[in-house]
Formats: sequence, C-alpha cells, structure tokens
Amino acid sequence: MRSRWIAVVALAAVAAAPETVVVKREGARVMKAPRFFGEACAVVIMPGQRVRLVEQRGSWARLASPGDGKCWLHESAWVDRKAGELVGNPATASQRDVELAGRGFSEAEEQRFRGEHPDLRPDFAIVEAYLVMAPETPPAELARFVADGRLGGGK
Amino acid sequence: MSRRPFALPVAAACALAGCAQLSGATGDYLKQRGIENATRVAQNTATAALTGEFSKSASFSMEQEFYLGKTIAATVLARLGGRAFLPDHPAARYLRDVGTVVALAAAEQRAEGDRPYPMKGYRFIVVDAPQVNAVGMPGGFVAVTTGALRAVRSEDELAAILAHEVAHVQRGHVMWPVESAREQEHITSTMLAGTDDLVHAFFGKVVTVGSDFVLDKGYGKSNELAADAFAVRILAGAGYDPQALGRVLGRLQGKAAQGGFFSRHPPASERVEALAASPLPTRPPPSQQRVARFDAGVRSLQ
Repeated sequence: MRSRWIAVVALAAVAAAPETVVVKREGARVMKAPRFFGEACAVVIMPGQRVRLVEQRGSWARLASPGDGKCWLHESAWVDRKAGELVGNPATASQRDVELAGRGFSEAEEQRFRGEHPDLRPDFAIVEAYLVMAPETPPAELARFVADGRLGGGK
Repeated sequence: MSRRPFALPVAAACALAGCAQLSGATGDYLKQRGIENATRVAQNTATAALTGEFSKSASFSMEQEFYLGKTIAATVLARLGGRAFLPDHPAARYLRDVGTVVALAAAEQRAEGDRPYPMKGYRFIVVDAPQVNAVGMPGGFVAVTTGALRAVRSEDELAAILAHEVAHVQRGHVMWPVESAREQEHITSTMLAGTDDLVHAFFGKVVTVGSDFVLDKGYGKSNELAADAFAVRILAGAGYDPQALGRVLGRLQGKAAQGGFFSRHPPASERVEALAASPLPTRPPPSQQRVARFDAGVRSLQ
C-alpha cells in the first residue's frame, strides 16, 4: 500500500514538473484562455524563444512567462517532427549516393531549383509577397471577424 | 500508410539482368559490367538489410516542409495558368480571414500523427482562373481560384472548401507522396551504390517521373473521404455550418468534371453519400455581418 502511494506521488510530481519548450513557428498566438477564439495576451513570442510551461490542459499550456503566468500557448507553436536521417550507407556509397539519398529541402535547395527554373520567377514573387504581406489574420482582427460572424464554435 | 520499399530495388535488379542479357550484342565488356553491377547490387542489398537501412524514415521537419511547399506552390501557381491576386486585394484579405478561422479550428483538433503546424502559418492565395479549383500544399500554402470563389454561395461553403484543403495539409496527405518518393530514392541509391552512373541516371529519372505521377494523381480516395470527414469537424469547431460541405459538393458535381485538381477527387455523389452517413448538427442562420462580408469579399468578383 505504501509503495502504491509513493508511485502516485512520484507520478504526480512528474506530471506537475515544469517543462521548457522551444517555439518553432512564426506568428504563434498567446491567448488569455486555452482556446484560439478568444482574447489574446498583449505579448509576442518569437521562433527560437524558450518558454517554460507551468500547466498543461489538453493541447494548451500555461506559460510562466511572458504574461506573468496568465497566458496560454497551443502546442502547435512548438511541436515539430524530427527529419528522417537518410544518409545512405557510408561503407558502400559514393558522395553522389549520399547526396541522392539524404537530399532534404532547404533554402539552398530552393535556390538551386529557382536557378534551374527562371520561368517560375513571377510565381515565386507572388508566393513571397503572400509570405510577407499576408500572414494569418492578427489576433485582434480575428476576434472581431469571429464576433461579427458569430463564429468560434460557441466557446 | 502503405509502403512498397522493395518495388524499385526489384525493378533495378530486373534492369540489370536485362543489361546482362544484352551482352551478346554489345560485347564482353558490357557483359562483364553487367555482372559486376548485379554483384554490387546484391552485396549492397545484403548490407542494407543487415544495417537496417531499409527501415529508415523519410519524415520532414516543418522547416523542410516549408521550403518544399514554397517551391511546389510556385509551380502550382504557374500550372493553374492565371495570375494571382496581390495579397491586399479585398478578396484575398477575405479569404485569409476565413482561412485563418478554419486553420485554427483544425489545429484545435490536432491528432497524433498530424503534421506540425506550418512554420510560417498558412497562406491563402487567390488565383484568377475560371476553373473551380482549390489545392492545399505542403507548408500550409492553399490556392483557391476565382472560379471556386464564384461557385460558392456563402461564407460557410467557402470555409468548407478551405477546411477540406487544410485537412489534407494537417493530416499529412500532401506530404505522403513526397516522403514515399524520397524513401524510394534512398533505397534505390543505397542499392545501386558503386554501380554505373548510367544506371543512376536511369533510376533517378524513374523516381522523378514516379513522384510527379503520384503528386498529380492526387491523395487517393480514402484520403479524400478522410479529409471530408475531418473538414466537417473543423467547420463545426469553427462555428460554421457542417452541412455546407455536402451542399457545395452536390452543387459542384457537374463542374468537377471540368478538370483541374477537383478531378482527382472521388465523384461528388460518393462524397455526399459518405457525408450523409453521419448525422450532422444544424446551425442557426449566419449573422447579417457574415452575409454582408461574403457579398463584399466574394460577390464583388462578379
């Protein structure tokens, strides 16, 4: 019986242990409650920033800071997938084999592709214009859009 | 996710065997090279099997997906054939607002195995083209034609089309063909390590053609139906009418046959039937503001 209590206490300690995560995505929303369709906290977090989580509720976590422990971040801000390591067998592969097998996608790869396809220059320009000028609707504007349209799933 | 990692290696072995069969016509040199190549492939295969090379994953991080998606988006814009509206066009801004609601409602319902949220968030691009068309791409790029914007009759129907495309992106349907092609390429190059460059070039071409075929063909019937089912949940979560997807599908049934990316989908009648199998909740009518902004954002195109 005693060992069972020790196990329960240990599990509770693990569950309550603060976790630090690294923000990966741009434009992550920091909210006053654990939901997207509500009021946002007046703070900004940037990719690469480390944040400490003090409480988790479903896919949401309450931050130690910024926001003085009153703001929530969705896991989509930090959850990533590790890239597969396809590097070929170095014992038998040539450099070209390794390049072929491990080829990922990066800014350098994109530049190489663009160099080979100059006809796509206007289309890349449009994509980049949207990247710079049309990020997802900012929180304050979105709150108005949701309220005007009676959206948000009744939350 | 079904994988056939040995399909290309087997084809490679067959091709190499073919090289050996040609030896009578091309001389002893080619015969000798054919035998050496076949031996090398056999050795590579055994080594790769022992070292676990065949079981390696080809998963992409959100950064890799972004750069891939950006390149695919530029290519798809070119193939759609119309110029894209600038991001500050009223229709583009409206599409962005509806799309953001849909994307966040989808993220709220994230499941194990979903792709990470796009590194820079979603981008909803309006393309001035008459066909009724919409496509979700890796990295969160979603293109919608003016033909599709003119075909919808409410914000809820527009949200339904976007929810279907966002579902493809979040569930990873748009990345599976790419990851699969990359794995095939890895296996092929591992097996053919040290063989003739000509053999490499041949198989590199096969892999490229194969991945193009898979990308153009679409995500498969089961993924399309799964995207519809998830789209309905996204609509419900966002506060849109979940029945809007069935409505717009039923009405676009004839137009889907015109071609474009919609032609990849199973017949609309089949999709409507699948959606009807589960009872959908009804919603109160949209607010006046929702109707008015739809008229301003989309109807102004006409």
